[in-house]
Amino acid sequence: MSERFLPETEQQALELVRWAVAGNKTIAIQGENTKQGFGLLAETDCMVSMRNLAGIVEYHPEELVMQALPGTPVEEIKQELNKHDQRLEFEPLNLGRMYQTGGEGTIGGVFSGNLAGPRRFKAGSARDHILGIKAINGRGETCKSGGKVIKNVSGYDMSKLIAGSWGTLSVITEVTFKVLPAPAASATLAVQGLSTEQGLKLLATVLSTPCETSGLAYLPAPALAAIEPGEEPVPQDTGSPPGKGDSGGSQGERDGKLLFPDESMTLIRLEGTELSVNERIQTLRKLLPGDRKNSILNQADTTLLWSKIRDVAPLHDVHRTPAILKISTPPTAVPGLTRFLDQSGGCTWYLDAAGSWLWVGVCQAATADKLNSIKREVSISGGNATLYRAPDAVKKNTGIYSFPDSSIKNLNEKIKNSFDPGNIFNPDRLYSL
Amino acid sequence: MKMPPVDNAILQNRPALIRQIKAILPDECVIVDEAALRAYETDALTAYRQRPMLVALPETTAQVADVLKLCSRLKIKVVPRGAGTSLSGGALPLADGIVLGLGKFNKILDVDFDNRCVVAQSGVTNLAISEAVNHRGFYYAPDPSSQIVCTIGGNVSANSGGVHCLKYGLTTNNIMGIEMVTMTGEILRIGGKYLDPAGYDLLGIITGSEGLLGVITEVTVRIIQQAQTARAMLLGFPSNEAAGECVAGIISSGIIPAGVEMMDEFAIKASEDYCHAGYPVDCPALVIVELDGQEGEVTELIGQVREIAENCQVVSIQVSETEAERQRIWAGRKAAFPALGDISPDYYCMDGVIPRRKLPQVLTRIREMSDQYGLRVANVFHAGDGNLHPLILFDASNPGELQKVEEFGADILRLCVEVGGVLTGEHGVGVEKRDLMHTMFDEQDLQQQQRLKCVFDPDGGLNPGKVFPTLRRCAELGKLHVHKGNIPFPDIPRF
Ligand SMILES: Cc1cc2nc3c(=O)[nH]c(=O)nc-3n(C[C@H](O)[C@H](O)[C@H](O)COP(=O)(O)OP(=O)(O)OC[C@H]3O[C@@H](n4cnc5c(N)ncnc54)[C@H](O)[C@@H]3O)c2cc1C
Repeated sequence: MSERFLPETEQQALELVRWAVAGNKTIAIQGENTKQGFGLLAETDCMVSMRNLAGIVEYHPEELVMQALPGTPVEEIKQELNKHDQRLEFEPLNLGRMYQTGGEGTIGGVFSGNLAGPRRFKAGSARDHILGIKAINGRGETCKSGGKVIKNVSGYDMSKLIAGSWGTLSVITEVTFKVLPAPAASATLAVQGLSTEQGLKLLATVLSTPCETSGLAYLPAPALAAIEPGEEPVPQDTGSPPGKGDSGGSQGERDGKLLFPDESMTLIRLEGTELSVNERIQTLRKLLPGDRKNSILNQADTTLLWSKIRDVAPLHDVHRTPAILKISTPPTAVPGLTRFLDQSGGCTWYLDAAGSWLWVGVCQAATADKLNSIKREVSISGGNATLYRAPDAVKKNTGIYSFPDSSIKNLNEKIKNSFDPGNIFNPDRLYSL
Repeated sequence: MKMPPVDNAILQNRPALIRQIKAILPDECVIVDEAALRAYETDALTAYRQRPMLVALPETTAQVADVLKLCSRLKIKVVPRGAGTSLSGGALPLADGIVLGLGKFNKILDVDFDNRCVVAQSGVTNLAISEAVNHRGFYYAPDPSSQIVCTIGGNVSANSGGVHCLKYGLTTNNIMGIEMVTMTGEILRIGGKYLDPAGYDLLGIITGSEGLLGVITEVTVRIIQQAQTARAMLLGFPSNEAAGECVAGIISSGIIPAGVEMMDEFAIKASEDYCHAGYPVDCPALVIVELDGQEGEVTELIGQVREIAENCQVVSIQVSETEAERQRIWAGRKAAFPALGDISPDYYCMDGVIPRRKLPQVLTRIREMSDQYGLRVANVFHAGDGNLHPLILFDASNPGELQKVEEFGADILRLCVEVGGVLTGEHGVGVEKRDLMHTMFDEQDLQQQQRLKCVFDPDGGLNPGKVFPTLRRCAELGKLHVHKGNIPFPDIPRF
């Protein structure tokens, strides 16, 4: 039974790491442990949870900057931002449902995982919003980088490396990040029944207009069907998108309308002032294929729908799709990849981030062979696949990442070594050394 | 400025080196002639000059790799160079080193509208990328003022920004992939036409690394659509405080303008005398706000900004109704640098960043220092992101004046750090701010950064003498110093 520590100060965390370095002990670093499903969790000599090193240190809404301790719950950060009509623009994916751990976890976890959401293609991911970091490396030394202002090129941008390192490089003891205003209104334009090619073409068309969009997704019917019942948003045929606080159509309007038809949905999210959202919806509607039904989702339904897309709801069911791959791909490679998935069978998939992300759930027969064949296909088409969920044995066989070549893998190992020469932090979580 | 010690043995071997480089590159790609070398002896920080042993201008990635392998083997230092517009001496040559120029890497390789990206060789200019996609309404967002000449490879190395970066991000937020050659000659391809490459964020660490980690030969950038419309507002204020308050008011009201610039009284007057853009010269502070988006939306936002400005004692408001008027409003801001060049033999451009709320305090302090040093300063400010550009006017032909300017500049940067800001927002550390790095970072912070340098360049041959105040051997940095660990932490809670 490994010992579990809850440091409450940076100094305590530093002492712990120094003790581990001196005794060559391995440490599992966590926040609220909501993302334990990512990567391989090795047996370690001790566990350190950062959840007691918590709290917002500084927040200046007019500077667009917040500084927080790593254990601060994401929920608390969102609430505080909400008070000032601001938000985390990168819309971090909540992995609590995928890993059946419930919560959204801590801000340290969000940055460690470089999480993002549907706005990725426009606003970037956590790494694009991190401004500065304080951390303890695997030598038992503090190392900070970046600053507390939103523009900075003083020294290497080490914070970006730590974002997405899943606790394998250092223990984060403080993080500073950029926040942005939350727009007053949002709406979704939903188009039914397009094929994958047609859906992608529509997304590309939308992106070649000046109508700024903040969500572009394509969900085939099986992915829609896999979203747990009772929670689907209701597309509405008429009307303009209501503004903030409007809870949308009444129950009566919902009745009689298909929650989701047995057809694919191509989804276009718009955010901004109410006037601007309306203007863009009117412009975009003119571009839609005339023979397909389209509808508009109001703000409340938009929020709900995109939280499902963000949190990978179509693949939640661990019995139906025990393995989940996130494929980052050039959008033009998507038709080939989805054809491959459909032909080989057993996969549920959908597209997010304007066709740059292909989320794939692999069914019961999620063998390593199957996953490896998908990964091969992805690397041929010039993208990469990250294994988000799978039984441990499968993870061990296929690996979490698909590195394009050995030199990139080598660089990753050398970077790990430069921070953590004894391989004491989350050993083997991302790849075995 | 102290540079790494010159190795005389290497200098003496120059003829052999020229022969060996010419065995890799065609003759016209190797510059050895004294007069021709002069063009490379400085970048845009002209106070520092050094003639290199030679300039190599390879044409292919394989040639870059061969040159680097050779230099690695012979322990010859290499300084990568794009267009040489660095304002921090990042591309300053070394006496016993070569300059590796990317000037011949000037082709756009792939314009891919379907995947919304452009693949360009690293010597392609920033503007050329936008021009290549302009006919379909696309552009590459980061727009440094030097965009006509600076290269995309230089932009990646410097993580350059521009007036629009508050809303549209810096270089690091807009690139998807690179091809890079390490000092040992290894060719790396990182990322590509997709988001989120696997593993640690190599693109993130290379962007802004000032040519210390590798030579970038190719860049894949993201392109986006231009907004339907953009309009500019010119707002005059009775004080810097009022102007700063207005900018804070705009941002806390939830508006992210496409650009927010501020100029102080001196900069306004100089610019107006120079280009007659119609700026109100009796205002102590001016703010330019550009709003973009859908037409109706922009009109609405202009109304909101007007209201905020009126609550901040605005004394003069101009709003562009046409594209020509928008250009005129910007013309004054763009003329600020040349205008100061016109009234003073030399100027020195600083690049600190501060939390915006500290602006009045910082400007007051700069004014006091200006009196103490007896040197005039004009301030232009990327007000949206707190990036301050104080321009110190001087005459380099006065003995000792340059040194005084450097001290003044260093004092300004120390002040920026003191109020919670940073040394540089977009111009980089280079040689210029190298010895000030300790004001922001302690020795352990810098050593961890240098360990990353070791990952890519274990012998330290690439652009040494830049960014880090102290050169260190990788073997020394790699040593594990074990701190005593006190068990069993009676005071650390368990769970
Ligand atoms: C008038 C003027 C206005 C400016 N305005 C802005 C501005 O608005 N915003 C801004 O951010 N900057 C600005 N700059 C600074 C400068 O233009 C940028 O830093 C630019 O990105 C440098 O590009 P370059 O091609 O000239 O690179 P160089 O000056 O040649 O090099 C810059 C650094 O990058 C390295 N480097 C260059 N190319 C490569 C490569 N291919 N591989 C590896 N390393 C490389 C060099 O070693 C050096 O350290 C301005 C400069 C001037 C002179």
